[in-house]
Amino acid sequence: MKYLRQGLLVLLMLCVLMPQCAQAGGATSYTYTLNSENQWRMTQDAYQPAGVLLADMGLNNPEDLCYYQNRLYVADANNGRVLAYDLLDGTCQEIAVGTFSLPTGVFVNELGLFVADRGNACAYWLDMQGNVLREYHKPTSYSYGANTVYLPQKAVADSKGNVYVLSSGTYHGLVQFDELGDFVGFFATNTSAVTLVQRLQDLFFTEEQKEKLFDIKPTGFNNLTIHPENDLVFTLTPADEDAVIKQHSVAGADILSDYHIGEARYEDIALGNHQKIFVSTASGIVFVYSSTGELLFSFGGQATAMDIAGYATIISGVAVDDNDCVYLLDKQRGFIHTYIPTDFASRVYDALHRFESGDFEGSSASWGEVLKMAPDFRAAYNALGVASMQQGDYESARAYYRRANNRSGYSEAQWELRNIWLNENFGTCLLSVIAVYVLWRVVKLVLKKYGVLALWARKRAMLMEKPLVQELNHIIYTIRHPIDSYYYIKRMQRCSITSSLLIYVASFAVFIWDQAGKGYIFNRTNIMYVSPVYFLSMFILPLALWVVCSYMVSSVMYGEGHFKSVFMGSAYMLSPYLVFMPLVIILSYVLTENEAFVIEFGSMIIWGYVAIQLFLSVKEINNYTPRRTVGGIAISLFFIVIVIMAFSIVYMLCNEFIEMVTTIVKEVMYRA
Amino acid sequence: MRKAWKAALCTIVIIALLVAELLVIVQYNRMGTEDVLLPETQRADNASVTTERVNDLDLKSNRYTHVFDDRESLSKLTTDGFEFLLGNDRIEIWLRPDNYDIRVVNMESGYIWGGIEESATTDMNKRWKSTAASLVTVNYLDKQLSEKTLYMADSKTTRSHTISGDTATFTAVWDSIDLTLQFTLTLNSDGFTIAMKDDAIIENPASPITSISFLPFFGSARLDEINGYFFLPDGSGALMRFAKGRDYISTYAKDVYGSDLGVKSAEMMNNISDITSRPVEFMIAQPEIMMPVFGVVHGVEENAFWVEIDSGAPYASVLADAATTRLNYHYARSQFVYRECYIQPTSKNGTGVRTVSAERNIVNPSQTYYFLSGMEADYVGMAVAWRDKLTERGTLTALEGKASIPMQLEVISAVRSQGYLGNETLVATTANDVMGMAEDLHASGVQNTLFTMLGWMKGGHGGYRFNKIRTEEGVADLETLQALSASVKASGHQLLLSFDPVRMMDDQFTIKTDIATKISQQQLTANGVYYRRNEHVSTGVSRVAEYLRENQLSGVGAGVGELLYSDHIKGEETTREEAMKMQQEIAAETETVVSAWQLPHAYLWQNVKQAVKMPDSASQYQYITDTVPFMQIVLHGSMDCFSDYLNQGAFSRSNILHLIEYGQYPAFLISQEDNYSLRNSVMYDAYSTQYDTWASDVKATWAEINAALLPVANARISNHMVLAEGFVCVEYDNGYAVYVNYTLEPITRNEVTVPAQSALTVKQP
Repeated sequence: MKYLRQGLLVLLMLCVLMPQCAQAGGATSYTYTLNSENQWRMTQDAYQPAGVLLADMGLNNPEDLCYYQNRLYVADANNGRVLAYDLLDGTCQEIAVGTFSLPTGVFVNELGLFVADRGNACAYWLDMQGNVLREYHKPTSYSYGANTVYLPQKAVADSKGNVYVLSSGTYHGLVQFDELGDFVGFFATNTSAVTLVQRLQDLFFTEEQKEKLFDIKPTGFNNLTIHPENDLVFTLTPADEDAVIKQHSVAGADILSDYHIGEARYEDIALGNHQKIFVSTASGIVFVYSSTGELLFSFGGQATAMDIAGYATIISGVAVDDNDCVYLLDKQRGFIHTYIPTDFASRVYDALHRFESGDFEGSSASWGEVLKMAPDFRAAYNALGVASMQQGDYESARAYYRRANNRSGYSEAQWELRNIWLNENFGTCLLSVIAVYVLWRVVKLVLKKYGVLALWARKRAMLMEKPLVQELNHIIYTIRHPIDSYYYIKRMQRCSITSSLLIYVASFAVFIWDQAGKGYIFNRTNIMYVSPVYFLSMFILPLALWVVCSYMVSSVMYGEGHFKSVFMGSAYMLSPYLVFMPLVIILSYVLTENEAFVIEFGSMIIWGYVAIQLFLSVKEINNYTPRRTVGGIAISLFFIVIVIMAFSIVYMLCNEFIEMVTTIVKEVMYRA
Repeated sequence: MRKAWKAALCTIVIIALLVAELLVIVQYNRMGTEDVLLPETQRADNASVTTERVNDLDLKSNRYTHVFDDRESLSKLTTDGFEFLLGNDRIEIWLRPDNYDIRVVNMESGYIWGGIEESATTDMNKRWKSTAASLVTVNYLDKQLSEKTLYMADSKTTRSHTISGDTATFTAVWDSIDLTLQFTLTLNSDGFTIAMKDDAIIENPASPITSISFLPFFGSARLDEINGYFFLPDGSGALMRFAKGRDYISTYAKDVYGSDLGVKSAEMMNNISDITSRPVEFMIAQPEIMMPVFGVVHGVEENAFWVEIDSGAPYASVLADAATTRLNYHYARSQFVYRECYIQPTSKNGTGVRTVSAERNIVNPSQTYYFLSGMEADYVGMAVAWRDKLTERGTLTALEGKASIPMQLEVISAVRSQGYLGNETLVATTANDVMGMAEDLHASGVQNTLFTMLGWMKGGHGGYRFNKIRTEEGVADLETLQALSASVKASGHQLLLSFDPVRMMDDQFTIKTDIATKISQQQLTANGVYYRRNEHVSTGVSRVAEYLRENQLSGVGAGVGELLYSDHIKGEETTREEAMKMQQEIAAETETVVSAWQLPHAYLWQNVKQAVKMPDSASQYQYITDTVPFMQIVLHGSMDCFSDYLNQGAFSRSNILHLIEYGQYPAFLISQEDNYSLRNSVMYDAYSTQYDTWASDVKATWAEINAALLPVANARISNHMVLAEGFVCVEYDNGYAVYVNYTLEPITRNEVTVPAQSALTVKQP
């Protein structure tokens, strides 16, 4: 998510520039996709508008749209009717005249039509001729609950006749009826989100208080559809930002990929060929996903002041036909927008279908076509990566995953390649290590014989006598004997401002390396999108604030530390980070996600030891008791927060004041 | 002191080491991302993957011209109650004395033109009836700066007129705001001209006028009662057929020659409230009005008139309203703007006070109505008539013959790119690469390629400056460029160097005085682009032209003829009219070295022989029913028009067939480097440009269009007919006809069979 935000920031930076390249073709809105750096980027047009349908039918607040076998079915809510529009001959007929009061949902499959009528508080099953076969009223079963409302908003059915009703105000999940029309239970309930405050209240409040306070309900679904072949239900949960689209297993669990980029306010969902997922926002922006939840395109626009084809006002329904044409139901204007796929979209779909049906070789060629038109199309590289892995071409797979910025895939390919390399070269490596060791022993003997080793020892001793070297050598001593070390720093001047500054600089260099230069699998920061100021603000600023605030707090709390010793102590507390973090970073170049714990555990230990060093430095330099040390650190941290807040408030106030004065002056000038 | 130096030196060394570390990390991050071998593809060049339904829905869209109804249309208007005013053997003008409504009788066909019929009392309220019957309507501002309208036909208006020869002079006085207008209506051999001098406007400063419209309902039509349409000069040309009333969010209103960026905001309106993860920018810019004409057809190939705005075009707009559920009439007119209302920002977030421009525009509006009947009475007849007039005036001249059709390859040479520690120039295609492309195309039989090099100047595209013109060394030095030009020419191609003296990015100027000032006294900038002051534009063009002339090179310019804006810098203001004249002058002065321009509006056509990025579409408003090649009918044979980049958008069969139908030549955006390396440059939105991946499509496209259009390359279009939905015939004056079949089935007409999704050029018997 953090990475996505960074990407978005850069995109916004670039989007400040208007597109330089004009477009040939008939699209009226840009098509976006995710590029290899997970950023939204404009790409070749995926869809073009192709006029409107049913504009003369006087639709009044239509609420739902469904496609089935060359027909579009519309729930024309405020006219209390359901219409069937034939795409082949352009005729339109009303279904079951006079049956409905406020139809808000319509779904069609081989069993017939399923209509959710909020006005009649009933869902209907009708045959294709419009005869009502069954009515689904509020269940009388005890398990439904007498006080649970039943206002059918949408209704879908699987191929066996199980009906799922989305009822407004029902938070338990979808109301499920079996093929005989009996209430089975609630299907696919969302979980409730509980805030930290609510958790605390739950801990400390009495039952009576809780009853008065808590009304925690699961998030409701917004819309749903069902797969015609595998009968899996898809739902939209607007409030669930990380999983707005859910694909439910038979047990109701969400089995779509963990996280798919999308909008929190999707309005309707439809499934296209090969289970492509089409969702639309109320503003008319359509998002197309593969069956695994990978985003392919986003297109469409909102008609705020211009009546341009393809721009919608308020969308209440989306449908997709067998040719991947998209239909959007414009609730406010009462007609249907049509979108047709371009050759580019058709090529993407072709590649996707081949890929999902296991024709990896064929799909590779098709993806090649897609990449010719859109060389930065992430979904294509991901698919090529998978295809190459399946074909055992790990080198190519790694390259494709790298381009797709898919770390997991890259890690898998890397693991395979490393495995192959180790299998091929393990013997050679072992022999090399032995050979190097033997060589070293021989060389050492020879050097000893000719007195070179003794000369080196003398030189080393001379070097160690230099003050700066001794001070830097104190880094190792700090790691091994931290308590003594800080005592020596304070009392015996074992280090200097120069050595401390060098430690700060070196630690800063390691920090940059750690943040942006780790092995690709473990590196979550793309340095191109991170300003050098960011590194300064994340390292130098906190340290500077710490040194100043810690010194000031120690002055107030009768600590013995002078500013110099606090400055030096704070530098030497970074010793574990300076010495050990490079080793972890180097390891990150050879390890894969399978061994990620080594990197994570190593980092955790290093930061933990730095925290201990911090505690000891404060304690020893100020000669505090452990309890007083904790207090001192806490107050210092609090002081840092206060300083940051104070600066922010002063900055904002100044800004507002200048803005206010400028506005008044300008307005007076132009009103005068 | 020595210690201080030592410390400073150490600091410098440390900073240098840290920067080096950052740069090493940047390089490391790039490793492995750039060279990815793409799989082999299997698709045949230009092959289509469309299905029957997609094709069917596409062909029903307003991007195509559709079959016309042959229903006869009879005028319901009469001259009863009207008095004869002026007349000749072509037309008669009648005036109604009590409200000064007019009727125009086409003497050839007897068709009577006017506003609405007298009996339309139930359709309209009093205000609308006054509008419909008025010779002129005036908008003005009251004390609260809200816009009000005055109608000449209103009973409170004092009207009078005099006749002198073929000219009638009208005077209208509105006592309520002390406004007096005087304008003339002059009879011509094939129509009439209505004109008003600015000094004939006497107004009260307390009620300033903002705009006027002549004959706002002239040629209006009630619902679908008349078989006809409005022709609108949107993009290549658009039709608004008369249909039943429907409610729309907006009406058609566009400024001739595009909006005045000095007054109106150039920021695109992209406001989607429920989008958070994705950028909200969605709107692809729609084509502008490049021609100062519009027209009305009542009965296809029966009766029509078209209007040319002779004077005041930089301040004119074309407006057209489709019938709605509230007003049953379709009506189109022009509007001349005298004053602009705008928001004067008083805060950073853009809020401000509404105000009006202090000075009145010098407009002197004049427009001529030309009448057509019989077979000429359609958009083709209008285009041919206007083309004849432009040819008579010397604006259009015939092109020299050519051995093959031209094709534009816009080559991205060097671009400004965002580096880690600042901007840098990225070389995407060198001169040697261009030479390689030329040779490759030549070897494949492709001739007459127009290589236009983007970003050849020092700093690259988005980074070059006009103060000292020199080449970007990474692309080529001057000698290499000259050699390239010569060798490209020798192999039958052409090399033009691109420049844009109007638009700048923040690296392209140093002093703020380079930038034009908006009426609100803010810098003229939008979406990261800055617009140069009009005088500086001329200077820039002169400098580039001088450089090109000295070095025997040629150029292609952008911005001039494409963007027309006023500059409001205090004491040195330039109006839109003055800017237009400056652009015309500089284009005329530099014509010998810069004869190709990007998107030139009609006022620059006299000095343009090659026009790039020309529109072959119109704005796809809901009320637009057809797109027509009006501009191409006017220009074909007089100017080589190149399309927008085919590899940007959606490269498909219909794109290529569309070019053949419109007689337009193909254009591609090309680079040697791949687009991944351009992702942080100003060309980040170039989706796919690498020559290696597009070479086969480029060659195949040229070969197909060359086969279809070469026989008619220098001819003029004489007719454009839709024989069936998706099947079009374009006739040329040299006897050839180009048949284009967009459908998925072969079609046979006039003993000509055109395969599915193909074009065929045949010599007419």
